Amino acid sequence: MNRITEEELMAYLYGECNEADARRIEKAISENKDLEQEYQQLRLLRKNLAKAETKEVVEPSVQFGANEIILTTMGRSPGSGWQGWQWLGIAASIALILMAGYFSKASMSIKNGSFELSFGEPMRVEQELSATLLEDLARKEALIEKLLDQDYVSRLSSLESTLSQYDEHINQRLGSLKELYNQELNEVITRRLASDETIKTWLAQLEEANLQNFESFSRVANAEQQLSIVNLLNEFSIMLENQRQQDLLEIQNGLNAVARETQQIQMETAQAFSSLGANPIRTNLK
Amino acid sequence: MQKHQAFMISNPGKLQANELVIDAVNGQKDAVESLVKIWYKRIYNFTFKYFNDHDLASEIAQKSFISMYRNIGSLKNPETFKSWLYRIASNHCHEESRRQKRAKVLSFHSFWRPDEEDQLVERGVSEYDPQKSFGEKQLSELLLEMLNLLPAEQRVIVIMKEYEGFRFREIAEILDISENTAKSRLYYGLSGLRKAFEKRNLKLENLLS
Repeated sequence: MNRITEEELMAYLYGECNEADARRIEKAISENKDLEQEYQQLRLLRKNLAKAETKEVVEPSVQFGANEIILTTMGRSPGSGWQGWQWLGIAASIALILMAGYFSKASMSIKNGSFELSFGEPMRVEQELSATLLEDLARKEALIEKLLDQDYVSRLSSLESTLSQYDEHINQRLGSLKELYNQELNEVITRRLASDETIKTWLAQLEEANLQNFESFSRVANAEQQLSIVNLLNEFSIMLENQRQQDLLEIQNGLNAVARETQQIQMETAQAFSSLGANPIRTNLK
Repeated sequence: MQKHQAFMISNPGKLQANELVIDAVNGQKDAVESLVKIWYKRIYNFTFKYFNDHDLASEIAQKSFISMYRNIGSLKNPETFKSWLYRIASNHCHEESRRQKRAKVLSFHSFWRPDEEDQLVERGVSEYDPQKSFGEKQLSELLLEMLNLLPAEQRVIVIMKEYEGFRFREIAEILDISENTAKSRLYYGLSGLRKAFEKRNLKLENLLS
């Protein structure tokens, strides 16, 4: 039986048939050129289908609500038709419109139920005022002035009252402060006087003590100095005496030495004269 | 909110991954966060191939994980987590697809514009050179464009089989259909793609430069 069903052909094409079926289908393909062509075309188609790219995609961030999961991707989120760059474009457009409005001094207003859009400085419209309108305006102006006057008088009176209250309060405050200040001052002066007296007493005591100390010191010092001078003079007189004795001894010795030398010279002179008498003088002439 | 359950682990090799699932089932938020981090890229790529639209793909992927968090307490067997998660994602894809279809029926364009597939093919004929080959990025874009011409029930199976590596048994389980239905839809999906290329005069042999 060479009849191959579409299902069998698909199972064979994707390798999902048993061996017996596979052999049967192979045989059928080899015997039927149309079937073979179809099979080859299907294989070629599969080869081409395999070329479809797998898209790279950023996984969404996952957050959990109370009973829900929230997936947030960089692209469009479910239900919303806008992407980030579209919102950015809208924001930029709004900013541009606002800037244009600012520089062209655009303004919008609703007056008496009508919408007005204007650019630039508002135009001044001269209006002719009717007599009634002028009268009405004058009346309103007078009323306003009256109200203002009343208000002014009332406010002035209230202000004066407030100021006098402040004055009284300040005076009271100043009086109490002055009294307090005087008390403080008196206390300070009293304390200062007491302090001065104490210092004077202390200084007098100190002076007396010093004087006593100085006198006793002088007394002691004078006695000691006298004793010292006496001792010194004694020592000095002893030293002078010793020195005089020594000098006298040295002079005596000197005189003795001179006497001895004089005697020696006399003896030598005598010997010289005696030798001249015994041996006349010979000249050494040739 | 979460029910605490005990599981019998039938495959010790999957113990670590299963433990994470078990922790998530038991209400541990860090385990839920880890599952989001692990699976987000794959689920996003699944939804991106389904819609060929980044914003919509991100939205559906996020909705899928929000549903995962809400319902993980009811997961009976941690080993079926992957299939279970893809079932959630594909349900959200189908729901969005139906919503778009309803919106198209009510739109003014649908009254005067021709059938979308024909229109796209016509556009393709005028835009693509039959002899032209593509760079990898261009080819990838072309393939996604072609995939999006397929009916949703065929498209989801092509994606699951070609890009997510599910076996037919698993696809049948996820989509709650029979294995033969899954195979049949895949066959028609692949045939539809071939026809779309042919209508654009694009030869499969020449596509890759």
